[in-house]
This record gives sequence, C-alpha cells and structure tokens, in this order.
Amino acid sequence: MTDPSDIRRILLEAFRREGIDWPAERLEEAVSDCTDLHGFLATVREEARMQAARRHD
Amino acid sequence: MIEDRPDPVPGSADAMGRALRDGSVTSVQLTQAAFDRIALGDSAIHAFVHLDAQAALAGARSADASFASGVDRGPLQGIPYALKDIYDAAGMPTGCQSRLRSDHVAKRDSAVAARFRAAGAVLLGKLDTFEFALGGPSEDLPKPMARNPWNIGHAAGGSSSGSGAAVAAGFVPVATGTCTAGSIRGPAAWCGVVGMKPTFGRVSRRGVYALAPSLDHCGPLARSVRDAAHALAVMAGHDPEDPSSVDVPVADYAAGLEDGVEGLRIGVPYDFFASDPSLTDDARQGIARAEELLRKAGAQVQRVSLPDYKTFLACGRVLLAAESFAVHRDDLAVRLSDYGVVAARRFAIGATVSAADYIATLELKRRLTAAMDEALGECDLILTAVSLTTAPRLDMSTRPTAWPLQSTPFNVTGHPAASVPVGLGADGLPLAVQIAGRRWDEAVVLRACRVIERDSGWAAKPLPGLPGQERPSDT
Repeated sequence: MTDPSDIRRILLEAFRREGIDWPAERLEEAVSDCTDLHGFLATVREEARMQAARRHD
Repeated sequence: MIEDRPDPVPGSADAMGRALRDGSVTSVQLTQAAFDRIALGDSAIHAFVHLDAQAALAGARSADASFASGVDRGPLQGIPYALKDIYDAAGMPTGCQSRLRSDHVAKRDSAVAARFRAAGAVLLGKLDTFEFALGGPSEDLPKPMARNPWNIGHAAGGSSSGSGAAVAAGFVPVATGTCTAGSIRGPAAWCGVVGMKPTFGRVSRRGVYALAPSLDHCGPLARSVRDAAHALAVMAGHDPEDPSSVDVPVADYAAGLEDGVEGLRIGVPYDFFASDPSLTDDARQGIARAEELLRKAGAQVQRVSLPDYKTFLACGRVLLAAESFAVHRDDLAVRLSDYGVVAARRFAIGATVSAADYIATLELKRRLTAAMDEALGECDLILTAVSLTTAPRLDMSTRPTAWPLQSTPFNVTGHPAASVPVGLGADGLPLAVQIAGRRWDEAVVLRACRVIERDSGWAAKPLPGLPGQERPSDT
C-alpha cells in the first residue's frame, strides 16, 4: 500500500484517532515519510506471509 | 602493566592517563586545556550544547587529590569526557535538542553518568544530538547542528553527532552515544573515531531518554580502540533498576586488546553492500583493505550468508516508528508545535502502524536474530560496511531511506558491533568498517578493531585540527 492517496487517508485517520492536530501545509511531508514507512511495512507483511506459508506446508 | 602496552594513540585517554600517572600533567591542566580547545573551535563545530566549567574543574581537583593520596579508580580517573544530551547528569539540563525540554534539569545521574563519576572521570558538559535522537538534521532546533571536524561542510552523522564531533575535534577523548539504528557507529564512521554499540542489555539505559526501547543501546565513542575498551568497561554492568539490563559478567576489555585475530573466522556478508549502487569505490576499497589486514593478521576471511539487508532495515524502521510514536504519543497530541518539523513527522507517522503489524515485526525481529546467531556459529566475527560513503554534505536528504549507513541489522538483533576507521577517502574524509560479534563478545570485536586501527596506520594519524588550522602532518 504505497499509493499516496491511500497513505494520506491512513495518516489523517491516525491523526484524528490520536488527537494530533497536524498542520495542513505540512501534510505532504508527512505523506512522503509515511510512504517510506509503508514500503517497509510491506516487506514485513510479505515476510509474515511467507513464514505463515512455511508453517502450514 | 603500562610499560608493556604499545605507544598510546596521540590525544587518547590512554595517553592522558599515562601522563597523569607519571606526574607530567594534572587533571586540572587537562580539563583547562580541553575548555581552551573548545573555546577555540566549538563556535564552528557546535559539538557542545552545555558546558559546566565550575563542576568540571571541581571534579578534576578531586581526581588530582585522589592521585596524590594514592587512590586510583582506573583508566578514566581524571580524564575529561562528555555526555550526549539525552543522558541525565544531576544538576545539568537534559535538553534533548527540543523545545519541549527547555526547562529541564536532571535531579539524578543516569546510570552511565553515575558510573563515570565513580570512575573519577571529569564531565565537561553535554553534546549535541538530533531532537530526541531522531529529529534531524534540522535547522529549526534550539541549538545549532554539530559539524564534521574533518570538513565543516559535511555532516557529523546522527544522532550522536556532537559525540562524534567532540572526539574528532580533540575536545574529549571519550563521549557517550546512543544507538537505535546506528547512531553510535554512524557518527563514529563519518568523524573518524571508534564507536562501540555493545550487546543489548550490556549497558543500563536508566536516565537516558528513550527513543525505541526494543532497539536502544548505550555505548561509547572514543579516540582509540583502547579508549573505547576503557569506556565500555566503565559503562557496562547489570543495573536492577533497568528492566532491559542483563546480569552477565563484564570482561576486562582492554586486557586482551593486543591478542590479535589469529585463527579467528571472519565472515563478510557481501550481499549486504557489494551490489548497492550507493557504495563508493573508496568505501569498497576500505572494506577490502580491512579484509587484507585481518587476513595478514592470521584470520580466515570467508563469505557469510545472512537474510536480505532490506529485511533487517524494514524490521528496524517499523519498530523505530511504532515505538518512538508510543514514547511521544501524549506530547504529540498536546504540544505538537513545540517539536521541530523533522521530529514531529518522524514520530507522528508511527501512529499508522497497527498492533498486528507491530507484532509481525517483533516476530520478524526474533527470526532475524536467530539467523544472525546461526551465522555467528559459522564464524567468530562479521566484517561489513558501516557506511556506503564518507560523510555526506550537510544539505543531504533527511529521508532515512537515503542515508548511506548499514548499521541497523545489529540493532535489530542486539549483537555487539563497532565502527573503526581504516583510512581517509579521496575526499579527505574518514573511511570506516564495521565489526560485529557474538552476543556478550565485545572483547573479541574490540580485538579485531584494534588490528585494523594499528595495522592500517590509523593509530598514528593525527586528528583533523580545528577549523581554520592546518591539519597536523601524519607521523
């Protein structure tokens, strides 16, 4: 999940849930960093999927 | 015995200790000389964020009195040192480079500061860091960013930037750092000093501001490998007040430092770095040079297989994001505008990591740790890159994916790892390599580092000199 619009939505939901009043003019900087983070998360999820597949072989 | 040791590295705590013990200098003189050098050079380097000359000179007088009465508390007695400004020292501010901490003064020493105090070391002050050890480099922090003494247009690394800069500038021979993704080895590599991240649990983190608790380590940056060994011996040891501290005996790290590496098997994970397009020819040659030195010293150098470097990096980055958000969760909700812009966004994005993702990442951490243990069953040490380039310019990208450091794997697995200089690149900036070892085996890591320091000729190289001064000639 690295589409910027998805990342923007995930970020805004998280900020709302946590009560973080993030300034709109700095949202795209956060989207950029968060895109990197979700690239790493995709790697972690893929590793978890492969591990689960090995467990159930 | 002092007489049996090789000549000390110029400017090292070891050299200062010999001079203190043969009576050719006093701790007060060393301390005053350190403050004089700081006054001369730190307006350009910005390593220090807080100095306390009165307390330091009182400590130095106390060390001199101890020597005069025959009390010797070890190699760091009377030696000037400094703390990264996320370590508490009683009576000093712990500013963490953040406006959130503008009125903070520590009531109690951190465990590490207490250990240095008990060893008779002389605390000069506190050193620059990125905001809360993550938010940098950034121009909007309360204090200026530390610069690299080898070239002040280049980065000193982070987040222990002031520690690397202060040691390289010759302000102190020993400083403390913290390391969550490479913040000891990175600044050490870029500033041409020795940086040692010990085994997870080896050094107490009590009184040190947390960044990501499953990855945070405390350790020394030092002028020489021997100084790092002395400093680690002071810092290490079980602390029942820190739940992550482990009760494992602490070796005399300096005792076997000259024992070499003959017969050791040293694995090189070429897949980590060799095909990375960011790897410069200089960095590649630095690793090849270290391999050659270790082989000539009698080690068997061999290829070792590890999981993909990107998997280690992903694991470390997700844990860092999730845990640092947890640490700052309350302040982000009520004091967001007091954070610098870099720290704010790096902490805040961690709110998007779900519990399920965090648990999957912890599970991955366990598997990667087991893989590292297995690799270190086939070899005694690992030699790898610490940085794919020399210190980048200050205007480099601040995105973590763009940083040329390769230090994260050993934060994820908790194995001890050190950065040691191996020479200078074509740009005149230091080159370094990384040595990692088995859990609790810091002594062997330091032995290999000592071979590289000694046989590369780095031990005889002078410090870069202060800005505006010519670098002293190599001996």
